[in-house]
Amino acid sequence: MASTQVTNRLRVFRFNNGEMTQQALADRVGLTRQTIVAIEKGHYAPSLEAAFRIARAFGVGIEEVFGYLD
Amino acid sequence: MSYKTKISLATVIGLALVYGAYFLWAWRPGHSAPEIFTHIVGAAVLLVVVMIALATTVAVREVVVMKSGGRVDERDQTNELRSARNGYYALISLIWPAPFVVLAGASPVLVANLALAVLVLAEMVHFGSRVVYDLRGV
Repeated sequence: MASTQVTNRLRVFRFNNGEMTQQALADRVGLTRQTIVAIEKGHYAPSLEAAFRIARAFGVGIEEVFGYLD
Repeated sequence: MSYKTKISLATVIGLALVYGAYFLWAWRPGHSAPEIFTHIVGAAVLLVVVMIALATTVAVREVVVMKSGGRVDERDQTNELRSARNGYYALISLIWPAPFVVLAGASPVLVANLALAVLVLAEMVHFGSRVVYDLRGV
């Protein structure tokens, strides 16, 4: 169950980027795979900087990857 | 489970094993003060040995992961700060009766054992919450 109001489409973007692995994404953005797993499951809200790095890794804007539940 | 989570879990297990055994022994009446203090020192030495063994086992199993990673991660830092804070809260909330125990004329052995128990509990809260945060997120 998600424990943050920050939503994400990491799984979709990883799939659309040649089934990028969580480890590959982690290496590109300077996080550990465990943190990518936590973000993807909605257990952890990344810092703004990490969110930007993740969005840049997919070549899109931050709001395409992350959202916020009001 | 990350390397740091495994080390935290190993620490909780090590503390529970060594100090669990110590407090089970100390709880039984009839021990002299020198015996108690010898066992306190012995437990500390044993904990070091157990932690070296557990940490080495985890490190050897994780050597491939550490070669490819080993960076400082923002979630690692957050989890460590939050769990250290929990340990500190546990320490300050459990230690406050200590002056009253001393004023009540408790034996030095009892005071030492209570202080040790508080420290061990605080450390278990610290590393236990680290494991929970790592596994369940923050």
